[in-house]
Amino acid sequence: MKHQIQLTVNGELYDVVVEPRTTLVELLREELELTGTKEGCGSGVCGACTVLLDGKAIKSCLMLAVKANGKSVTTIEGLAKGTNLHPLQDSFVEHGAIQCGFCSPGMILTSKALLDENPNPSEDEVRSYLVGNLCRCTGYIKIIEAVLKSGK
Amino acid sequence: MEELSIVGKSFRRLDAVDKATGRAVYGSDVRLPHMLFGKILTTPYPHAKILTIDTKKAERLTGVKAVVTVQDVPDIRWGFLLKDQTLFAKDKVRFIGEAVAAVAATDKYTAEEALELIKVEYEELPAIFDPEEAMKSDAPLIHEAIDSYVAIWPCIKYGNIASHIKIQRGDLEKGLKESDLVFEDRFTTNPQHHGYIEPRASLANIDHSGKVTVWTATQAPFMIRMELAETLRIPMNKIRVITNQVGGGFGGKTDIFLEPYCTILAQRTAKPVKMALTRKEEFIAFGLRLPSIIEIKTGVMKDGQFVVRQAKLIYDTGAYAGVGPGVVGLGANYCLGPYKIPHVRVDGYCVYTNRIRGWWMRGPGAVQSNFASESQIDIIAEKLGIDPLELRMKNVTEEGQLSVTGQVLHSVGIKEALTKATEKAGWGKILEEKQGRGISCCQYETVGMGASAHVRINEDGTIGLVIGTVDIGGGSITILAQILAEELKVPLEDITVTCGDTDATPYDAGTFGDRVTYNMGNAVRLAARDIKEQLIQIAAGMLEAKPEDLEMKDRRIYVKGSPEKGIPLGELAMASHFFAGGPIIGKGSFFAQLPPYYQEGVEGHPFPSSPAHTFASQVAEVEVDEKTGKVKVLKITSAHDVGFAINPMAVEGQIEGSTIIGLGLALIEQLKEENGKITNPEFSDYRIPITLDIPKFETIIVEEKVKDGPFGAKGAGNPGLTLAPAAIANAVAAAIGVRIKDLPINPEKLWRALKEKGKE
Repeated sequence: MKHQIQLTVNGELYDVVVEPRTTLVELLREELELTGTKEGCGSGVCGACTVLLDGKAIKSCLMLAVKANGKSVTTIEGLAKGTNLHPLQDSFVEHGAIQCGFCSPGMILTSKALLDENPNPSEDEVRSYLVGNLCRCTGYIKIIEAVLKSGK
Repeated sequence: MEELSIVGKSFRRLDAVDKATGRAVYGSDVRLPHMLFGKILTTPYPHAKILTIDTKKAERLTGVKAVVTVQDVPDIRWGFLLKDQTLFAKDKVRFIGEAVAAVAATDKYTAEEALELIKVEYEELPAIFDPEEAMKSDAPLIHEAIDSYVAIWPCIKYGNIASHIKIQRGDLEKGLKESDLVFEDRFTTNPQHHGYIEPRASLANIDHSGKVTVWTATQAPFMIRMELAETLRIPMNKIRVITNQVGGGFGGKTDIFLEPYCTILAQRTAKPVKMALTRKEEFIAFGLRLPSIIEIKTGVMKDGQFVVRQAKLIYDTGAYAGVGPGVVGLGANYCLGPYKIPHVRVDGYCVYTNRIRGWWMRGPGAVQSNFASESQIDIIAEKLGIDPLELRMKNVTEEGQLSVTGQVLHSVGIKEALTKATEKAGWGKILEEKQGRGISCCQYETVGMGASAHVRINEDGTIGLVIGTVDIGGGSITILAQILAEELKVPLEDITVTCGDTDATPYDAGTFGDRVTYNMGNAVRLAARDIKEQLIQIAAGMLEAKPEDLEMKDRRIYVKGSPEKGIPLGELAMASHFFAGGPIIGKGSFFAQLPPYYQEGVEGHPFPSSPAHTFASQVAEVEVDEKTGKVKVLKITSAHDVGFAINPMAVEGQIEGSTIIGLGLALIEQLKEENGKITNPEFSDYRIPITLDIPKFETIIVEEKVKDGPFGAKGAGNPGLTLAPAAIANAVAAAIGVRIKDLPINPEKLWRALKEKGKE
């Protein structure tokens, strides 16, 4: 039995019909064709599926789409304003924090959630906050640097 | 020496903004209308005869459009080096996870349901999980028809040994007699999951003429095309492989896996078919780093001079050896380390077992043998009472010395790397209790194989670089564009790169083996010179000047010394398109001749010589908690001889990322296997390094230019990983006097070893 839900994604209101088993990441990628959010493990460990739900970083592979009814979601596509990159995006690019890029959307969004909460984190605070986002390419070193230097 | 303004600088990567904004398209992001979803049925048995396969119920399930098994594919064995594998298990299965059937359905849930309706009857056979057991003469054969298997090099194979590589230089017995002391040690290393965050995905579509187009996450589109042609007997001009972005490869996305299944199902259903592996399937159905047993015997003089080394390398390639022999070959090449050792004997065995097949994984073969070799050097140092740095310095190889296979080494930056790494790391400075430093050195190589490039000039003077290369995260595309921009003396933003399409772009073997900067860099340079020559000729005609009096710079060609007397590049293109001469195309084709080596002493080796060697040294600083056995890596200082860093930030990124995967192999990553079954096939239970695991990092780039590399550049990506386990093991031994010779060095092993040593 399908459910009708309504949610805002990147500022736009969507009316969609989903199955109970559909996860939020599936809704975003398949239904709404926002493929910037990635799925790396399907079990909530790698963080590639991270989106902001009402401003909070969550793993969208662990959330059922129906639970996002009435909520506001920000995906990576919603960060830049036209061609103006969000300072975090610019910092990631500038500091070589992006290699294959598959973890980057999730990594950037989690970082945004951190900086929205705590605009001047210490290195240890950045490391702790990003513990749920796996990267296999960079070794995290330039990612942490990019977050610390974002907007500076 | 001309001033370089673009290479040697850390420009922003060309594809980074797309990746930062979610615009970049990866394998699973590609979609076509009406596409079907495919899934593979894998076997739960490690070794069993297939008696019957009944697909009728699955075929009848609503939504299922096709079910295929071994009888639906040509009867062909494939494999990059040794052709021993079939697309679906034929007659018997040889590892838990081997593909037995595939289905295509309207959605992934129906496809999963269909798998459960396929009934396969097996008759179990005795299975072997230990390579030393498999090597015994009375072991049951895993590949009965091994003698009939085709290999692309003179492969020595027998019994359950897929490949036996022999290297001999000097006189082993003489060396042992001459030595003051002989050390014998045995080391074992673990398998490793590639851990790319993107599980692989492919989409195949067939048009009415039978032309196949495959969009796939691969490191090597031309390899995919070749292997699809081979396994499905399709002419190559009827196959097009397109790759956009790849979410990590590390050697795991070099060859076909999903592509043939997608293609067959697309042929059957006349619809596009998409397949994507789940993370669990990536663990159990694809392939892992080969685990190893390494026995090393080294003879030395009292003063520390190395005299002789004998190594027995046993690498467990699992059920299939498509690339296993290459892994062992590389292990054999680097089991000496970057040292001068006159007498050498290496026996490398690539052994079949009923475990998951082994595959290329960054630093393939080398990280295993480096762990053994570098660990033993510290054992020797301790016994002789010589500082580990001094011992290495005494024996490091240099320009003109021989590699293990007798290749003359050129561009040897190990002494500089070792000196700089240890100086920066503060070698010799006092540390706190339970802290220790360990060194590791390695020699690595840049693989060859064909590379080519086209360069075009547009009517406004901007430039197109057309290459078959795929950037899997290392920065290849940006680096190659930088090389072109430097050669043509134009700004980097004038260049657009078109890549990764086997119909549209010229051949490149693929992105692996640290080969792109060197081989494709050379191809791009050749193409640049080709187009520059043509442009200058045309300009000479138009300016009524001699070609040698002209200079190309800043988007113009002008008379040297009189820049006002010149023509913009765009005008040259415009003229050639509309007035005379025809479109100007620059082309470059490069193949690195493999240097000579000592052929009489090498048998059965797929990669006995290499166009360029890289050298690196790493110092790890650790702190051990003796109560818990936990090792904290405080700092890693790394010096890598990469020849020349075209984009220093990209090179640093490669060194850092590679090292952390090595740290994972050394301390964290533990695959659990029970009778061939992987019991922790998820990131929740197979941990890979996280932000809290990483140490402080210092990277030093050493530039010992190689004479025929682009601006002297060699490769960069593999050594970091190769070095880490030994550096960490040596640091742990220095910290608490306990040496672990079996990776990973986990808390339990350390704790037990400490207990045995009599400490708490």
